[in-house]
Amino acid sequence: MMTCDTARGRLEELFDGELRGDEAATVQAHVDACAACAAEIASFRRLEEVLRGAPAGARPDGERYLARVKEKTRAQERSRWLAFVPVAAAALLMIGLAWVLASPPPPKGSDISALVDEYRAADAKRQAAIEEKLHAGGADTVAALKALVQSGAPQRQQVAAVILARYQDKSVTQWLVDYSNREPASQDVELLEIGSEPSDDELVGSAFDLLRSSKTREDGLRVLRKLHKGGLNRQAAYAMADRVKGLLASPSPRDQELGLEVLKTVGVKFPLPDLVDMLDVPELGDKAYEFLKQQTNKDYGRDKKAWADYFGRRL
Amino acid sequence: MMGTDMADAELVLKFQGGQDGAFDDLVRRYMRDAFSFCMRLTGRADEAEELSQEGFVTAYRALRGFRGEASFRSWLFRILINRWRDRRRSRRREDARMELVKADVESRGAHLSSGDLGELDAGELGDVVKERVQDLPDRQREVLVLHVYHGMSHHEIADVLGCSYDDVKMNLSLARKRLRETMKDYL
Repeated sequence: MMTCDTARGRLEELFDGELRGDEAATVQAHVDACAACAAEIASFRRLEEVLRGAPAGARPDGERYLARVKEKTRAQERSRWLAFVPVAAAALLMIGLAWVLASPPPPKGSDISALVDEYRAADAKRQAAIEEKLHAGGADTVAALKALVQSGAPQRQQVAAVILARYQDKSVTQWLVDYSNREPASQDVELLEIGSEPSDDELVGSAFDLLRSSKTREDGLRVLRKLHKGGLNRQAAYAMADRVKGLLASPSPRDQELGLEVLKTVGVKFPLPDLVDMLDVPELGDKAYEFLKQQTNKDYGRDKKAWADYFGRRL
Repeated sequence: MMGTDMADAELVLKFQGGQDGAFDDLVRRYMRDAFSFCMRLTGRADEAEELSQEGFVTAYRALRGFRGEASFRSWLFRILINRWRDRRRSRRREDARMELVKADVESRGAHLSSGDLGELDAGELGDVVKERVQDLPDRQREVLVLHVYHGMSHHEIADVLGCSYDDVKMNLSLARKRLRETMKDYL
């Protein structure tokens, strides 16, 4: 027979329907035989009745509510690529891409929308093929893509912007940058929230790619700072820490330096003990040492063992 | 619940297949649940509307990648909880607004700011319940609201909140203990 002490720990689970089979039966049998435990169950029931008796009060106004959701969705879609496109446009101006252009006939207006829709769900290979076809389409295709950016459905706006950003024609990419600067920011949207979206680990990856070129490094750092400041979701945070770790673990001194710069300027949380290994690397050792000192307020010089002991780590 | 889960899964698949209207159906289906959940978290109708709508916006953008690991309902509530936590973290002025809400409740005035959002609850007990639930620590309030008002099991709540079953059990117990104490005159 179950004692009160044992039963009391399971009463709420019994009440909540979380117990099953023999366990539920055993606890229930105790409650049936114990006035104190039965009273406890009754008090849970009473509380629940009172709580449930208080409705939330206001209710959402159906179609108006839905309309507002749609409005906010459109505003978010626009703002998301507005933050990214100027950086992408600047980066792609600087990166020389060798395109092997076949000479397919230019796509018709209705075909362009269909290609844009197909692009969104396509794999990288198919995306490249679609870009090639559109880039070969001439002024009419550019005009149609610009029209989609300005007034298409949110998904089409975003994809059309990406395709235009990849044009090698500077006037096209400049139009995109000018357009994004001209559009007033929606009051519903906070760019700082970019890092909160589930797919923004992709933006982290793209921002790190920009760091590779000295001409776009500042753009990349700016995007990373915005992402980090806005608060990253778990996936994006892992992506960022992973990238930094990859840079620091690289045999290339340039990569290691880049990793340290990201740590310093973006403020990424990173396992400091991993920096101890860099203390005896020429040139980078100084930077790693300064960073460790700054983060820990300790000074063990270049003594790797002392730092490792401080972190409770074995070398 | 199984029937609803299957219907939700169909709508999700339709949306993933390119039918945007399927998402509208999901919003219609869950707007009341989402709104009332946010209402009990925030205590204010205008904020509940904004927060729940933000949740749907996030869901819209993430739904293409949804693989059905959880039910749509649990997934949506998880998004709402995350939005709620983001809001708490980044907007300090919400604390000041909550103080205003408590002050309003203490003076027995209506604490819902938007009159065009339906009938207001005028019962004294209803006001007391809302106030006491608002006074709960955040995690206890989240667990209690999901269990009492949305009928979620402990496992489902753990899934939504990203915590363990034992965390849910403990917080629900603490919430009940606190409410039984603070509302003893009404029980």
